[in-house]
Amino acid sequence: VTTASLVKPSCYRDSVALLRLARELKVLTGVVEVAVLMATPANKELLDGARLLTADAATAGPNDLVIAVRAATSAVVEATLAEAEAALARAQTPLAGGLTAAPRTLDQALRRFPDASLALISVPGPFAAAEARRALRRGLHVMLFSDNVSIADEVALKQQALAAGLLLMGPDCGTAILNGVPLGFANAVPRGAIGIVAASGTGLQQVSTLLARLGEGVSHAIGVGGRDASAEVGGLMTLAALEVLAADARTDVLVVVGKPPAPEIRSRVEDAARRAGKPVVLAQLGGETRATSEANLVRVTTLEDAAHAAVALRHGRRPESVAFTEPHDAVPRRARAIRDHLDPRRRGVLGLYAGGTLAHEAALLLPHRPDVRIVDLGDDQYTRGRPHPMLDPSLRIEMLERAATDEDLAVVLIDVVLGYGSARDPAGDLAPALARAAKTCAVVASVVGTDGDPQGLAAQTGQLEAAGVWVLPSNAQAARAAALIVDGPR
Amino acid sequence: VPEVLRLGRLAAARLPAHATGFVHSVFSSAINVELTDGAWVTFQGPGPLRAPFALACTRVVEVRPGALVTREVDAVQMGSCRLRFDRARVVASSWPHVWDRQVVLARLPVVAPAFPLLATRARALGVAITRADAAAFAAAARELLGLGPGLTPSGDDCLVGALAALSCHGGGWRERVSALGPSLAMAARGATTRVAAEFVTCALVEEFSEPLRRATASGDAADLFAFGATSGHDTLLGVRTALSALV
Repeated sequence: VTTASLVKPSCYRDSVALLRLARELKVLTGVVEVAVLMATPANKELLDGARLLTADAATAGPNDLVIAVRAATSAVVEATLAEAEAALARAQTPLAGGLTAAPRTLDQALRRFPDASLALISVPGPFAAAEARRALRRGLHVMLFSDNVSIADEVALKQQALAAGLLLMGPDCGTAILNGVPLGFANAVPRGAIGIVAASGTGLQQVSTLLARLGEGVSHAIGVGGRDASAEVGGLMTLAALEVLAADARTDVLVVVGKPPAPEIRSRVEDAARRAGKPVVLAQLGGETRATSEANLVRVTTLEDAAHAAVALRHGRRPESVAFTEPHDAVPRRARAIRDHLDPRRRGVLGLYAGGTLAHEAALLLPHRPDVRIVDLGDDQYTRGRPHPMLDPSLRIEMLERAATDEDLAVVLIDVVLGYGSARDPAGDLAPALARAAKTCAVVASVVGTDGDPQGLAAQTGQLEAAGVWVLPSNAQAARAAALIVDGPR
Repeated sequence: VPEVLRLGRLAAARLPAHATGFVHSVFSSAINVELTDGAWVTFQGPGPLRAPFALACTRVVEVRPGALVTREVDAVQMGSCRLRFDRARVVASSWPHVWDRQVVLARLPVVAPAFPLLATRARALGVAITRADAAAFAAAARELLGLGPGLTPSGDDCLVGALAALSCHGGGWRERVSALGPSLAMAARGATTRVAAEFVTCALVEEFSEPLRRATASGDAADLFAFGATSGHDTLLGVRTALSALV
């Protein structure tokens, strides 16, 4: 005998339809017991008493419909729940079983989900601060996806949040993972013991996905917004997030990701990290030229090193820098082979990035000269009036087409970012343009993602490789490989 | 042209000229509208007002959830549908001729609780009423919130029925309920569905549907039984429980 349930959030069907559904399901062959109830606390007690309360149903709210089934086999349970889903879909016509609209305001949403603890705010910048203030006043943590929020508003919101013991993630916070719940552009990564504080969305994604590939998981990943460590904001949320993760029993190791803080903030962040009482990896890209260690602090220079260091510290090992993960000199040899096939006059590198932090990291690892150009296509100047490149590939395709005709170019370097919020098939979108570029120059890429992501890491990598792209396991490795192609081993 | 025919005072107060909201949910016999201030009104077909916040219309218009609703001076614009409002009649939410409670009890059909836990909790409510124990009443009422099947769970319907009986026949219970009202209304918010909480909150301030008023005042439960799958039955259980306890 096995039990499972289907939860339909904010599902309003009239009582007649619910009763009819329960009757129809009860008579299916092999079904032992069925309950079709709104998930009020009292009804959850009823379900518990009848041994029909599943984990999903236990977390549902009073306006969610729960269909719980116990049957002789799991196949019968699955078939019954599928039938329930189909029956509800059949009833989903106006003037039939009932339909429910999505909430239009914060208060409407709170009336429908009274137990909500976080508001994700993604409205145009000028309205974002007011919505965030409203959410904080109602005792909600805030993930502020919106950008174009003034520094003054950011400081005021963060002070308001701290006074109320709440988190204010952002503004311009694209990614977070709280209690295993992915928010924004986050990837499908397992839960684990490594906590991340990130001023950068794609930096957080790179570290969390590399941790997943190394067999580790994330306890919480708290986005703080790109300006948090500026002198004006004073690292308010970085310091608060460090405190939260230091006190969190699930978190064994902390990772801080972002650009280097303002000098006066850096010492505060490092002092807070020292007080954490747990190992802390500081990946403040551009702040250090080499890895260093001091008491419980490890400073690294790449996002990949941050992931490796966190795993090493979690298992009591000494962190080590990673140049390439492929054995022997496979990468230098392949780079040399590519270089040998290129016209020697071609020495330029063009990085076309969707992820700002990944672009910044690549720029740090590549030679600094005029024919090496890294473009962050997510920057404001490229996203005015058009969606972010993680959603809309058109601008990158246009620039790849242009790159294919550039006779000075040796390498095109790109990132492909997967995750819940990203495009459905980013590699497939880019593949034709990449294949054309790969006929004239080398195309090097890294894919930020996991096999659990909706797009699938292996499938996306396969599409890129089929288009003639050299795919490396991390952005840092891809940038180093590009440097090897144009300049050889340093 | 569809038209709003009648509405209660509560619905009229919630939907003044220039009020706006959105269609929350659509059923074959009713459209629920959530106004921007959080209030809730229901547009139903012709006949008795089936909720204290209902507006009876010539017909239920075809509209999708999420459609914008705007009350103009002489009309209600709901999505692409326009309902005349200029001839709508506001009716008082008052009790019809009230019969003696023993007569009402004798006339009301006998109903059995739909499931054992509902019987137990309804009985606790009755005992509290008999003992004139407001604290026990509040505790029993909380136990009924959100209990059982239906979009308005059976326990909520039962509580609304009991509150109607106390309002109509309860004498001193009106004051007790008035004192308990705010805390019970608050409890209902997280304990039951949005629409059921709306019925309970209205009942706590003595606002009831027309079929419930008729059943409670005179024992004529015909319209009440037309409610939903089990709602009429469960509401009647509450009316009978409270009346029996008062007797």
